[in-house]
Amino acid sequence: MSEVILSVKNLSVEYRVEEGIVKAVNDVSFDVKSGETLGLVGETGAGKTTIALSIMGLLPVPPAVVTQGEILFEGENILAANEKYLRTLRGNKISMIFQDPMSALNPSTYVGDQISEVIMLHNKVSKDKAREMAEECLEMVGIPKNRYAEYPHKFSGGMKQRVIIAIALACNPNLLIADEPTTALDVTIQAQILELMEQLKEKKGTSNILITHDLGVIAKMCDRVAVIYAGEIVEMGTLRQVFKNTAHPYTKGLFDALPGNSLSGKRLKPIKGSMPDPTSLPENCKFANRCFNKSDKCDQRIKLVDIGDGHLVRCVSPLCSEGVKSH
Amino acid sequence: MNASKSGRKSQFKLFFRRFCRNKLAVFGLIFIVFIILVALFAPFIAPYGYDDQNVSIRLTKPNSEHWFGTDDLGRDVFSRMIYGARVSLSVGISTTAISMFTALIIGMISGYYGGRTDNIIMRIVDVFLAIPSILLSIAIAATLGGGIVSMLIALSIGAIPGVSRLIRAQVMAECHKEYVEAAKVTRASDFRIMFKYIFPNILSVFIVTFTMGVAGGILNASMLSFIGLGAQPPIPEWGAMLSEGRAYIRDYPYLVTYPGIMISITVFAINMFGDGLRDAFDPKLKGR
Amino acid sequence: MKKYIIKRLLWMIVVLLGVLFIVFVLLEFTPGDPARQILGVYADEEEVAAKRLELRLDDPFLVRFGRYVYNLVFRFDLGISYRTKLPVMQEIATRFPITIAIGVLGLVVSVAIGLVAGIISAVKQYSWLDKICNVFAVIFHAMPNFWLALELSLIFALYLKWLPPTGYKGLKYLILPVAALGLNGSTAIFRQVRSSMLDVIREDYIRTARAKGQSEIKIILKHELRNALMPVVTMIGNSLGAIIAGSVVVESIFSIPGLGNYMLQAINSRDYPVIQGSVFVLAFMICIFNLLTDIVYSFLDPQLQSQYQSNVKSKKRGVKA
Repeated sequence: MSEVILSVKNLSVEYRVEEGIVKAVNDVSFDVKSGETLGLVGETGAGKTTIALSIMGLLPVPPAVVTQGEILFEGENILAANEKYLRTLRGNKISMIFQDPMSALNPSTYVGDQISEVIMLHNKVSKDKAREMAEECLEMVGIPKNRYAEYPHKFSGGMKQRVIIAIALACNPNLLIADEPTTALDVTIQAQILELMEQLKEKKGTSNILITHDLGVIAKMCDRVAVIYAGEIVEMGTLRQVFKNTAHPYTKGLFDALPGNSLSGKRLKPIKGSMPDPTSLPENCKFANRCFNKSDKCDQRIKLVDIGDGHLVRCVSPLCSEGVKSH
Repeated sequence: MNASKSGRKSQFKLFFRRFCRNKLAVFGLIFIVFIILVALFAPFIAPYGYDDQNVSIRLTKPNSEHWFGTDDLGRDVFSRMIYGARVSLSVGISTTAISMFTALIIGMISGYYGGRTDNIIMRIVDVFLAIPSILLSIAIAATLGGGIVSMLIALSIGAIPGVSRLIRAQVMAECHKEYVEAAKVTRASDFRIMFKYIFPNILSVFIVTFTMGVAGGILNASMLSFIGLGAQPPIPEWGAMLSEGRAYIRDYPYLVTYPGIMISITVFAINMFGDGLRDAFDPKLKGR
Repeated sequence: MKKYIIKRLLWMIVVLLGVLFIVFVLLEFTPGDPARQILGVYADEEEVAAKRLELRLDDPFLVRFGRYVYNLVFRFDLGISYRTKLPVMQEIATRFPITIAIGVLGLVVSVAIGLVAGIISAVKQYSWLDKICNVFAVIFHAMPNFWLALELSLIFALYLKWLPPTGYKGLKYLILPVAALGLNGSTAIFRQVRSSMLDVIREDYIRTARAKGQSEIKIILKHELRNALMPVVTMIGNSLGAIIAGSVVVESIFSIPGLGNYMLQAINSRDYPVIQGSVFVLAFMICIFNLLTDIVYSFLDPQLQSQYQSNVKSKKRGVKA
């Protein structure tokens, strides 16, 4: 197996706000290996973005507080590192693509200058050289370089997302975190952007963390998947393990709620209920209240267990175990 | 019916709780209530009349008998300030009421009908806005020749353009919303849509603007009175008192200081109250 | 961009005509006969009638308005002062520079204070610095500027004797009036800067800049300020208006022989042509200033720029490369 470049260990993050303590991330651990794409999937509010911001060292403090855990990148704990060191990582070795491309670019600066900004920050190059490199980046994401000196408001959403990808990849990072990179875009544009990301990943060998609530995107892009529910990983494994041998009732619920997955003529099966209030999370299984497979055993703290071949599930009665095909 | 009533009640409770969390706003409210009571019961509170002259005790410094001293005509400054609350508050509130009401109609018509109507009205408003509102008020008051009534007219007209523009912007934003479309589909009359549908939705902005307007009204009234275009002697308006005390500032600074503090605290309290209202109406804006 | 400026310029002329009209209507409402006012109480009826004829006061309203505009535009004539019997324009011209100086200095002070305090306050939101700035802002906002002026002169001129209390013999005499107007005016700018900075700080593109590894200082300078200043620029015209309106009273408090003080004297002696003329000239000054801020704004706002870009595009690029 290839080497681990990022390792998140027992991460817990809280937001301390007026209404109470929001436990956004609870004891989350995962690794990202060199060259692979890890998908984080879950509902809105499950804590995916908080995980991403923790890795970037960009958590809004206050109200965010990291209560435990460490994030190791190149052997260095990001959570304990100083701001100056983090700045040398951000945009350089770890980059991030944000959800809404419409507002992620500075409206009063040329798009090209926004790319050369990051180049000049991390490379000792002249202004002209940086401009040249930024133009290459534009071409790389399929934007003609003569649009360097234009303002973002002249670009469509898809074009803006391309620019943002160009910014993120301008310094050839080792790790790219993409937080719902296609959610705000039209379906046709979504496909283009995903295609582009895949191409660039092949070309540059960047490891990716792809955050999404769209299982289709996961299936297309990822090598491994972690399913997040109420700030916890409830199931994690290779794409094949999670998709073919779905073991957690929540993951199964996600699949059943997909339009394409139910046979034609059948009704969609939504997961009933909603996520528990993050200010007062139950100690026992957090999905129990919505679970179709609930039993007395669920009323306890549940650990993430390996059901075979590194397929991890947080459930006392997993729907299947590795090797035994239940479908 | 019942459900909506109790819903409204709990909404009000929530609003009230949010308001109470802002200590300065609560102070503002308490002070406003206090000053209104003082204004209402001035004759019972003030130890002397506002025009009780006694030249033998003119310009006595603050003492146990005359807490804030006496002015150049031997009148009790403390009593005059209490009576002054009546003038300042009533001028502030009534000019704001007049200007807000007029501006509501102008802004509503302009924002609701849009197009050419809006264009014409707003161009006229623009012309008025080219003159700073207080300068416009000064010019109008000077033309009308001073006195409380002309001050009322001058201040009201001075405030209308700015507020009209604000209300228009609010109305326009509401007009794009679906409930207005829905109301149009049901063939509700324009008047009904404007005041039954749109107005409740801009009410919070209206109330906050009104509150702040009263503070501005009191400030501007004091300025007009200070330059002799507002309340005429012997009426004890705070700005007028400042103006009368100005000649004695070197030796009797209290004649200038106390009325000024009174204006400032009142305006401060109203502004804080308005800020609190705005935050309570729209918690998202908090801290701005 | 040229097109835009021309458009603003034309609109300014319309606005000024409108202002003149308002001023002229006000003049119509003033009590008393202008001819009588000019000649004084001792003139007899015949002289007054002759003067009325000479000034053609019996012409219809619009004709007289036309003449008023014509006289102003082509002869720089705003009528004759009732009190001094001198041409209003001449009287205004000598006093005008002082008021401009006070207005501009007051604006500079209020922008400087408002900008610095607003940025600090927004960047360090909820800190004690933010709280102090806010407290000062609400306090100065609540003080009438003429009262602030009186208190400043009481403290710094009468008690401490650091500065001259009244008169005008050099810049030193302008410190107190400018301070009073500037402190008062800074509160509005402070609020605007702070709130638009807070808006911008929450924007996604600031997060993007952080994700690039940009330092906080550079983020403020490069990404936040320019975007946050746009709404501030549009309100600076208003601020100047408020400062100039305030200078009407503040000049008189410090006995500074500016336009404001002159206007106040005219108010006290009901010298209407002077009042109207002063209002017009002050409005004119503010309009010019608004035009300037509009032009500055058009250079700051890329959306507006591209609307009118066709004829500047090539030049701009040349400069950039």
